[in-house]
Parts: sequence; C-alpha cells; structure tokens
Amino acid sequence: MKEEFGDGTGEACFLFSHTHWDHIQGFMYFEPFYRAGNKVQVVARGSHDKRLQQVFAGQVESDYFSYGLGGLKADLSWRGVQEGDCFEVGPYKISTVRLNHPGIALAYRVDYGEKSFIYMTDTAPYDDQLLGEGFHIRKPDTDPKILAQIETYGAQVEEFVKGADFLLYDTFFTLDQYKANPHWGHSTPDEGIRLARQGGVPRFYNYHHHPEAWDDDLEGRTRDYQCRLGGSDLEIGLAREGQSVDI
Amino acid sequence: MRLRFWGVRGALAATGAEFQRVGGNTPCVEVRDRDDELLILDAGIGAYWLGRQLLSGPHGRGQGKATLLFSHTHWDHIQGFPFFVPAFIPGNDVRVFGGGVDHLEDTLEGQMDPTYSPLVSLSNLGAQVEIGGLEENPVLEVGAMRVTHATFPNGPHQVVGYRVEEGDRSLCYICEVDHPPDGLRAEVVELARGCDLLIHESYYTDEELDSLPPNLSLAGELGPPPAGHSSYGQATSVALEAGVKRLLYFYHHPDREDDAVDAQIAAQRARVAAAGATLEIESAREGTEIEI
Repeated sequence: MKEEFGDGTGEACFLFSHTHWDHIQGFMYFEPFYRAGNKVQVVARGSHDKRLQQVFAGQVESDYFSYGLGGLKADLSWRGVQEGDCFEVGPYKISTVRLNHPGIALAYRVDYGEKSFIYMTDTAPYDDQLLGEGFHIRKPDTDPKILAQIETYGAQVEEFVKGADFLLYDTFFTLDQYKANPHWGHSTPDEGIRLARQGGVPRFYNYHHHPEAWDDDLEGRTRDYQCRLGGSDLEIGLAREGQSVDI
Repeated sequence: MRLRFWGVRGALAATGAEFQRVGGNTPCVEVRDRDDELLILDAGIGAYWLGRQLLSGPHGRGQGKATLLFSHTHWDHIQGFPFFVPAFIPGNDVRVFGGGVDHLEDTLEGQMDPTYSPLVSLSNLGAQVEIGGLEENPVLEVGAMRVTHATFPNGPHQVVGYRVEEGDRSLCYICEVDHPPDGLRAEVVELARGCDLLIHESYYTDEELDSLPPNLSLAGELGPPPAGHSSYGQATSVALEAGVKRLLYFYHHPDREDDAVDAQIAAQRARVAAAGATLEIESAREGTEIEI
C-alpha cells in the first residue's frame, strides 16, 4: 500500500493452487482490494470464470464473514483454468499441470525471459494413489485404468518441472508421516528432490511445512538432505517467511 | 474451574517473534471443571493445539468428551474445528452449540464442502458429533459447570456471549461485540455481572475506535468495513460497570505486537488505579493456565 496500490494504480494477479481454506483465508484481508482503481486478476482451477467467483463469494457468505465480495473496491476479474492450460499474465508465461490432491490442485510454471519458476503444492506423489474427484489407493485389484492415470499424470509432472530454474514444493510430510497418510495429498522432500534431480532443476525449496515441523527440525532436515546429496549441485533450501529469492 | 488459552488473536493468525509473548493463534479457550470435564470456547486455530494436547488423555483412546461452544461462526472462530483431531477419533463424544445462527449444522457442513476442505462432510468425522441448539438449552450442564448465554446483534450478525459457573465461581466470555458509541451493550454488562473472570475482546485501541471513519476500519480508508469490535477501554468499562473481579483482554488485532499489547494494558491499569477500583487486568496469553 506504500506504492502504486496505495494510489489505486496497482495491478496484480493471484494464482491459487486450489481453494482449500488454508490457501484462501487471507484473501479478504489483502489491503489493495480496498482501494478503488487497483486491478487484480484471480486465477484458480474452475470450470468457468463465474464458478470461480462463486467459490470466493461462498467463502464470505454471512455465516463466515462480516461482508461479501461487494465490500471490495478494487476491480477484480476471475479466471477459471484447467490443468494443461497455458496463458500469459503481463510478461509472464504461465503453464499448469494436475496435482494429486483431494479436489485436484494445480501447479504453476512461470516463465519469464530465460528464467522459470515452479510453484507445486499441494500434491501427493503419483505413486500409490490417485486423488482428485475420487480417491483410489493402489491395490492388487485396482482398475488398470486408474493405474494408467497415475502413470500418465506422474509423467506429466516430471515433464513439467524439466529444465526449470527453481522448484518450490510441498514437503508437508516426512517419509514416515507420508506412509501413514498417503491419501492426504501431500508430499515429502524425497519426492521433490527426485523430481528436481530428474528434471535438471538446480534449486529445490521446501514449502508448505507441517504445522508441527519446528524451525530446528526443518533446518536440521534440510541440512541432512543437502549432506546426503554429497557432491550434487542441487541447492536445497527452506522457504521462510519474509525471505526473497532471486532467480 | 481451570482454563487455558490456546488462541487469543483476532481475525487472522499472527506469526513472528513480535507476537510470541501474547500469542498468535485465533481464539480457543479450554475450560475444565473440578472433575476435568471439558468445555471449549470457540475453535480458532488454537483448537488444533488443544486437540493435540488432548490426545495424550482419554480423547486419544476414543474415550473423551467435549462440549464446544461457538460465539459465532465467522472463520476465525471455526477454522480450527476441521483440525481438532479428537473429533476424528471414533468413540469420542463432541457436543457443539451456539454460533448465533439457527442452522449451525449447515454452516459447519459448508465449511467441510469439498471446494474448501478435503473432509467433504461432517459425516466423515469419526467421533460422535452432536450439534445442538442453545434455544432448547438456556441452561447447559457440562459436568459440574452450568452455562448460560446472551445473544446480541453485532452488525448484521448475532453473537453469543457465555457465562460459565461452577459452585460460586464464574467466568464470562465475550467475543465479539460492538458497543454503542454512547455506552455499553446492556446484555453484555448483565451477563458479566459480578463474575470472577471476564474474557472480553479488545480488537481495537480506544484511539483506533474513535478515529474509525464511517464504514471503514483500523487501516482507515485503506481497510475493510468495521466488523463490529470493541476496544481495550470498552472492555475495562464493561468490567468496572459489571463489578467483575478480573478482566483478561482477548482477541487482539493481528497487527498488535506484544509491546503494543503491554502498552495498552499499562494504560488501562493507570485508568483503573485512577478510578480507585480493585479490578485486576491482564492480557489473555496463549499457554497461560488460570484457576478461578
């Protein structure tokens, strides 16, 4: 608000991985929304733009919030997208891929000039389950069509990260936690590091930390993973509030 | 009665070193009677940490009971409910009341809708969850505790204030309320009358409240319209007017750093002393246990 958004001349675009509560709860508290003139585009997975607006309006129905979307003064536009869509936001080229999460989440790849950044949360690895509209765990009698989908979507994710400069990834779980809760739709550093190495991504950052992963745990784990990689060039980092990263 | 604060912050969780002494989780208060019977006031993010703690006792074995009372159903008061682990454990018994709406079950069902939550439906909670109405329960018994309430308008919404009594001890919980500009909301003063402990929201400072332009909030013309909140000074006034013994300020603004909360309390103490009153005042702080 100290810059152009304070003058009502700001422009911004939000990309939402999905609309589960922890990802949208700050929406109504974004101050630039309360200055007329600001232009904000909201992008999330949705069958159509109007549906997306309904989802955000539903978040602030009178049972849940003091006022509705009508209380926002900025010029908001809604853009429902699907996995596989590519579009542009200002100078950024954005592409999307389907993630393995209840209700389906999207990862975004942002290409700008020669540089590219991937935002990939919330997702389980595509190994033993398919999450989305339904819920399938790999069993001896699992429908081969489901197994084929797991395979296909997994390959799409691998292809998606290929050659990116930076991967910000859902590392909610340790390996043991993941094994106990594979259906939650969250992943581990192990899977993220595998994707980064296989895709030739030089920088991997842990993100979407578990609420009970204390600072010391996260720092210790990050060091351990870096050590385990030995001489590899892959940088393993920890996303921290307030930190900025140049790509 | 014993109580413990698991969340004392209003609107949004506040993270960072500046909020560690007061605490950053949204509202949740644990209340216990002499037999350890459990009553919970609001289920902000603090309810997650309360739930984790409960797992080491009967709630971890599916033998626990809890009664959860909502002041209202705005997000910061219910956002911890889907993360309250005892509600997922078969055998546990969770009773839920309040919210100031006549359709609490629908409201909570809407919270679990697959658009917003992986839980999809209340029916996926493993515990026995019973959602009851306060109208049929003007006096609610929770173990040795007796709960009464007052419902009052707050802007377009209804909010429920609670009074909990055990023997001759009493506490009153008010979160949130917007007092009229020229006085105090009578229902609130009446509910708090003579209680041992008053927990009263204090989202704003007096200066912020005075300088709110019509339809605009703390951030002045840059912020959202007022949600209907009160100030530290109004909380003190309620406590003095109602003859309360002890007041804890609660539901601090997410921007209010520890030092700023301390400064507010120091100013209110000066006011209480100048008035020659014996009212004891402090901030509710996460993790603090209080015996009444």
